[in-house]
Amino acid sequence: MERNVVYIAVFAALIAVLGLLPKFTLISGIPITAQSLGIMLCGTILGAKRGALAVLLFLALVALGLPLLAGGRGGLGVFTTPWAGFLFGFPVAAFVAGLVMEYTQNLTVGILATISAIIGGVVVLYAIAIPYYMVGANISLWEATLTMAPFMPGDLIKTVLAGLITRGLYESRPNAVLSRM
Amino acid sequence: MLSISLPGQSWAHGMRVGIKMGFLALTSIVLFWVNAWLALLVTLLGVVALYTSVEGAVRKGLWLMKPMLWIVGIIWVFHAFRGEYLAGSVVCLRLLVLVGLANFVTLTSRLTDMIDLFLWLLSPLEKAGLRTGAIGLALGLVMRFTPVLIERVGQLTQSWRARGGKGASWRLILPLFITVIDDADRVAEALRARGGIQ
Repeated sequence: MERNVVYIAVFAALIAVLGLLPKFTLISGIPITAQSLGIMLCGTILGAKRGALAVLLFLALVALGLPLLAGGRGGLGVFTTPWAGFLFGFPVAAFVAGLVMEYTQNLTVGILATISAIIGGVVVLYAIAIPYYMVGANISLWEATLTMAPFMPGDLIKTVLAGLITRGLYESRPNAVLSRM
Repeated sequence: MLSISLPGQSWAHGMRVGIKMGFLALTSIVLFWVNAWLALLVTLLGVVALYTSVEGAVRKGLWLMKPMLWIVGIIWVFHAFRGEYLAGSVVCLRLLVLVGLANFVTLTSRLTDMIDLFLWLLSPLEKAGLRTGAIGLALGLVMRFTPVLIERVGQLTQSWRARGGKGASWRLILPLFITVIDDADRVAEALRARGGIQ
């Protein structure tokens, strides 16, 4: 019980810290903030339920007024923008990524974590964020997809990083990867 | 940990958080049905007036709004391409009012009051088996952990640069996670030693 609560809290803090990291450029021209990487890692490391709870805790603190979103933003206002579909999609993304991890134990951790991150952190997340933006901004599905397209290559790179980091953690602290228990 | 809210004693700070939140929720619902650009423009001017009535709110509010201005601009351009200038303006005005009001509530509410309201809203769920005590503890833990982790990233970046690495690298994330997991295990142990979470 204590360990679960502390892990959930610590991962909520990790999402925040990853968002505050300076943007780093992997391939020239694609700047990446690591916040959505944090969401993926919540799912791939903590598993479905705890991962989603960590994300919800993070979002609660953002809503209460802490400047934890990338760029030091936060407060209630961020939940009323048409981009808020990402925020509402975050806990679902972590949950789905965790589910895939928990139900596919026969693959190596690194590859499985990347696949989970793609399904949860990209497919499911955009399946929520794009229609939300479409309705909020009153534009067509195609236009909404076009607006979000520049972020997708970066997100795909993050799924590879999620795989590498989850594998690294599984090798050094196997007990911490709760999705493999 | 620093909150976004403004320090101060204005009339808006004095208002109870629950009332402000209720007002915000109500306005958001009403705004959803308003499609007249003039009404929205007047409301936006009203929001601007709210900001000017609180010291320092205009500056901080504009900073919070900055990414939003880009979003609104892009949305308007999309509409303009289709010749729907008016529809685009209505959507953009409504967004500016909504985000502006929500940010105003955040700017004029103390973090502790917001947390109290949040836990109060959750309290009915306690009967359904939700452990609100654990949630309150977790909120505190995140606020305590975040500055520690920011410092940890700083230390890792320095070690990385001392060994010839440049800038910030994704390679620092794994060591960050490992040290943080070790900390978490110790904190959990300490909590259990002191009687655990009720």
